[in-house]
Amino acid sequence: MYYKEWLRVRRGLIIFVITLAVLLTLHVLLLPIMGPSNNHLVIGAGVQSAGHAARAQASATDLFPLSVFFAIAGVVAAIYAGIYGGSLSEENDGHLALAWTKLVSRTRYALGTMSVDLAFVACIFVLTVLFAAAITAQHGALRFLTIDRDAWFNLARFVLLAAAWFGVSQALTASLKERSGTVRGVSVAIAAIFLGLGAANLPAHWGALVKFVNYFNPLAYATYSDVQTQPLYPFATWGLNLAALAAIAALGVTLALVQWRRLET
Amino acid sequence: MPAIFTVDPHTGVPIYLQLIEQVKRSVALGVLAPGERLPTVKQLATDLTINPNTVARAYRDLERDGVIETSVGRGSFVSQNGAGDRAAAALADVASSTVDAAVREAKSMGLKRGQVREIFSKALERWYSPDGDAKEHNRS
Amino acid sequence: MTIQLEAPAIDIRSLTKSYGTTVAVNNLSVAIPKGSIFGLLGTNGAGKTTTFKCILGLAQPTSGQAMFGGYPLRPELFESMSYMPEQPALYDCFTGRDHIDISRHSFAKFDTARAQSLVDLFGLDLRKKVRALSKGQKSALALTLAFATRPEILVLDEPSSGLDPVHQRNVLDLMIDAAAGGATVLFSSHQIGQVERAADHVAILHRGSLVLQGLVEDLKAEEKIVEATFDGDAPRFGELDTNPNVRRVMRQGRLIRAYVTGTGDGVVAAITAASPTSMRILDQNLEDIFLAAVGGKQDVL
Repeated sequence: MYYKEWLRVRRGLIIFVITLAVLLTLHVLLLPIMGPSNNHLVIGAGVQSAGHAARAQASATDLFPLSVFFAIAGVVAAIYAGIYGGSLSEENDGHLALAWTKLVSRTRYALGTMSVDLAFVACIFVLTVLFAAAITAQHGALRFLTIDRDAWFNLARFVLLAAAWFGVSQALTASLKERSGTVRGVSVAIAAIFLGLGAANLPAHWGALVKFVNYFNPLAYATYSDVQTQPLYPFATWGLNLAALAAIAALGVTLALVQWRRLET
Repeated sequence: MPAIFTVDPHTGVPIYLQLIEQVKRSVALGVLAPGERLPTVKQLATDLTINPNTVARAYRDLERDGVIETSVGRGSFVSQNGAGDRAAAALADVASSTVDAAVREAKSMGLKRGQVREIFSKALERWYSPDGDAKEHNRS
Repeated sequence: MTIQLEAPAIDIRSLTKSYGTTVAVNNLSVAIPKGSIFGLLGTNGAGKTTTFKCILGLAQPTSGQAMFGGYPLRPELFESMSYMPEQPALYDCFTGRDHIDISRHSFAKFDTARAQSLVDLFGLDLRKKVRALSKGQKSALALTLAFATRPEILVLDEPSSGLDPVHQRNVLDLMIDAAAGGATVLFSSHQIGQVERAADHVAILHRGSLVLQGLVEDLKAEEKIVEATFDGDAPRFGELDTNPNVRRVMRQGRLIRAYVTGTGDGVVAAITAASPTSMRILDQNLEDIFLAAVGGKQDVL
């Protein structure tokens, strides 16, 4: 019942692996040109929104935390989560006859599809971590890697970030027949905007509204900084934050399912 | 067995009636011999590209009229006993209504009895040899 | 001897579907017998596609339902039921091979050998992505997927659209072959010639309502045209307008044609009483029957 999505995902996976392999090869080839490896090592993940950048700098005497890999992988996985978060809406433009005239109920079909997508996103996460490690190794800088105090929290957090983004994407698009891509693209911008607004300390009611929205905004849980300032997470303890992300993921998937089952062609 | 029947699905005459008439004609003329096997329903439906139930209906009516016999598993066969006579009788009925309708139409067109008789004689002249059998087809 | 009536393959009961104020299907009740080839005829917008969608659960009926062999629709039914929509529901980014793969994994009864023979029959290139296929090729692929599972019920919406005449004949052959094997085929078509060949049952929809249904052969036997010419202008016959066996009356100058059901004796008598110069009784083929059914009762050419 999920074979169709598996075919789609398999192709995405192959392309991703090949891309990484090509990048790794290029990196190896360009290594001599790049200069000595124990100078500043900059790893950048480019998501342009206020306050949300994952960058780590390490010099020869600095250690850099494992969390950095998780942050990068989380962003990449979240991007894929956003792309594949339209998998239900993809069926809506004339393909429901193929999806709904199968031996399994619509619920099972949708759950199967989304399970394949989530497994795929998890693979992307793992592959990205490995890729980052490989790049680091090629610089001979693996010895600078350290398992920081928050490493496991960040691992969980960034994995759940991708899952939550998947849930949000599906919930927003499951009943759309067109413009699913536009909606998902715009949702990224809106999430980033609300994240920025959250940091802006707006007056009274606006501030409360923004704070409320940010409980449901996966990006609000994804800020990363190695500077020991007060983080901008919606909840105080990391347990609650993780639970919230998981809840967003589950809620999103459920809402998507409910909408999609009731569509009409 | 090659398809020796043809039907026209696009006329107002039901296909099963066309089939029945053709089978009866074949039997009456001896083209289908007593005991000879007819195509199966599926074969005929596929050959003629018509609905199998239509073929089945024709076969049922033919069996009811005693022209063919069907045994389960073995197929349909031309009846051994007097199928030819029954078929011929049925065809005579068909021919009789055709002529009747033609005469009625001639009357409604305003022709007199004598005119109709003359037309009839000419037709007999044209198609039958003097001793009553069918004539060789004229090339005219 | 008791006669056991088998439940119809598809029993549509009082199906109504409205979109807002538009009534697409109006109280449709039709039973499709097992083993029949059932043709649904109608002009564009008559409600054929909507009917199919409603019975298969792709659209929610406003009221009414469809039963399959006595049971309501459930996913397990698709083990032995195939649907081919009017617009082939194929995925643009996948190839023909992918689609066959997907079907093979989705249906236990998928017959790969049969699928291959159908692919050969239609001359499909399975390596091409669906977006690179012509409309006819998409239809052919959809038909392959529908027939390859050897279903007991086939629901085909305009199965021949986009196909060239050779392949159209192939589609008829496939339907007839399926029915000869005991399957039930429900299909809709614009092409009356196809329905005339392949279908044993027909139902005519017009503007959402059922206007005529029955066995094709019986309709042809029962529906006649009484045609008469008169000296002057053809008179109007009040009794023809009220006669329920008269579907339609056409008058042009000296000619009158009455489309009648049954023996039409009353009609013949009424017309004869007005002393026509000539009169004859004509058969109707399915096209005549269809046009009479969807036309108005009184038409002046």
